[in-house]
Amino acid sequence: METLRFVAAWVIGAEQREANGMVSAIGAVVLKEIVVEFRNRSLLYTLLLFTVVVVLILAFALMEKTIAPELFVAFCWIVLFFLAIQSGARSFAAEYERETVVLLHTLVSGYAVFWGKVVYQVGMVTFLMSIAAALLLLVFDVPIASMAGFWLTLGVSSILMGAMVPIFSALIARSQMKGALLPVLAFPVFVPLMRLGIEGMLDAVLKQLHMHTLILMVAYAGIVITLAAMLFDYVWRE
Amino acid sequence: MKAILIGLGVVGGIIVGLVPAVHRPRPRWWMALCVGGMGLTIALGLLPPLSGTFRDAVITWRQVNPELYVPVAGTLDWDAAVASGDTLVVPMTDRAIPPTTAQVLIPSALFVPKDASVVILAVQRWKNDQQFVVQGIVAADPILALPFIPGLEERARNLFFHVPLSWVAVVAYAYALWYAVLFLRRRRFIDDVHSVSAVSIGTLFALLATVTGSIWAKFNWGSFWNWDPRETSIFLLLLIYAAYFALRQSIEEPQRRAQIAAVYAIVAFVTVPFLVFIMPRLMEGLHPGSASDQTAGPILSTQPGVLHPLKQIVFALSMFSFSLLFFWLLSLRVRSGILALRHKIQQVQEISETS
Amino acid sequence: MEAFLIRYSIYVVFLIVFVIWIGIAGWLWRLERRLVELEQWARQHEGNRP
Repeated sequence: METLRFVAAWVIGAEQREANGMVSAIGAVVLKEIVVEFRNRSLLYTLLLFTVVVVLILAFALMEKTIAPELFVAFCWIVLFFLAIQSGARSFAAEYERETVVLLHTLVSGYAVFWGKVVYQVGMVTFLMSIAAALLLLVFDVPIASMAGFWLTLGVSSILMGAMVPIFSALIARSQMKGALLPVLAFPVFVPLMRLGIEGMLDAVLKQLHMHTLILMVAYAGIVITLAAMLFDYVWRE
Repeated sequence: MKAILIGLGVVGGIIVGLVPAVHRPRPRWWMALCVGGMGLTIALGLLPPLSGTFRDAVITWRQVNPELYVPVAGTLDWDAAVASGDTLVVPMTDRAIPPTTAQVLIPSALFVPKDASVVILAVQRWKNDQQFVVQGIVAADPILALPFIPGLEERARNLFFHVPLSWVAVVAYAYALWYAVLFLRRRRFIDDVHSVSAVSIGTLFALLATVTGSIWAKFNWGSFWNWDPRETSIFLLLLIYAAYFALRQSIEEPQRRAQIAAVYAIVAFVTVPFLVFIMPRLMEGLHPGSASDQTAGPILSTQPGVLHPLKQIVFALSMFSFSLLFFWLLSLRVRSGILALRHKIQQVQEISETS
Repeated sequence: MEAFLIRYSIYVVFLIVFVIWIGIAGWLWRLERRLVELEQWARQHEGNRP
């Protein structure tokens, strides 16, 4: 009963917030993230470098031009997992270090901060992952059965992985040993999504994509992200 | 019938476990119920001899291991016994439905009580499907007997220990989730004590489930670890809750630690239903009830005769007793946690009074 | 020897498990009693506090 009331209150509360103000607040957070990132582009460069290095190492190791589709899918997911984790590793910790938390606390609601971070993270992961996948496709000659299915799964996976990271990066923001803790916390929760995503991508690469895999992925990630949005304030507010 | 029995064990265990509230002392009857229930589970789970049929003996000889002796329960027809050299050839009617009669070759040195109406003999197929060599007597007129399952033999008894352990771990994690939600709502440190105690004891149970399963797998599947979907999922569960403790450990401020741990406990629990109830059933695996299995497994299958009535009773009893054991351990842990919390609060008060 | 093992090995397993359980149960029972004492003591001492 207590929980039901809690859920109901949250839903009503979200409705009561002004829709327009909300969107612009989220937009402001996203814009702020982009501006801060483009001041030195350190994260962007690090992750780009990571992507290129991974592809290069794979290219050096597997000189032959054709690789098994299964191997290709595995490479994609290794890159995707570490991109998602690394892009979120310092997202909240940096706010505390730069002491910009106070500003965020006073200027926007926790709700806006969460969704702003989610949008930014999703954009970042999807952008980098599409570069990584394009590079992998360029370097290796992979026979792919359904190109559209492959890109669709890749897109959905990157979006969901990116959207699931912020809650974990917020959880570790104030702990010691931040960097080491994030993959440990996030990995088990990511596993069901990764399991489904790898299965879906394999289907797309070998035969054709089954829509129900994508639906299951969206359902699972949807539950995690909704919970994360509901609980974010408890992590964010002191 | 089966659903009612097992449901009674599962729900009853949780209800009786929660009846004296977790933070209260356990009454004497409650502790006696737990100790007695578990003792009865161990006795009923391990003591009754296995009793098979001639069919089982033939299947075992053909498909499992021709050297294995199979306990066959049946009635010996001593009047038709014929001596041939050192052995007695006696017709025996087993308790299968419909019963089959076959000849058993009993060494004359082996003592088999003639007045027993039902004997369980360790037999092995000999020459043809109608003749069996007897190696020893397992039991005479047993009060209770568990069914013999070719390929599982005595290892089938693991059902009464391994399954409840992993079930209780899930109950523990659900309990931790509930108190994590309560903590976020009420901000009472006692709720955090409940949550963290449930996670630590749940993890102990999950570890024990892994150990019992893994030893069993060594003897049944050939190696300690096979990356069966359920093995993967319990591994991930252990990982999740190990991460939970790592997270707690890395935050110093108590208020913040409790808050962040509560949020993680809630988010992490989303994976539990998927890992425990969905994934192992969708994927092909070695555990009963996986996609490659014809039935939903011995516990959930609705087919009649999948689980022997005695096994149903013992399984329900063991679910009940393991739940009580969990709540007992939880209660001890929670109460000592509350005492420690009170002690800390007093210390803080003393310091603030003196300064 | 083998016949002996077939007949009695499960009883040996039972005995080991049963003894372990009695040990655990006794330990829990004692812990329970000591915890009750401790709780009483804590309650009394908190009561005396100004």
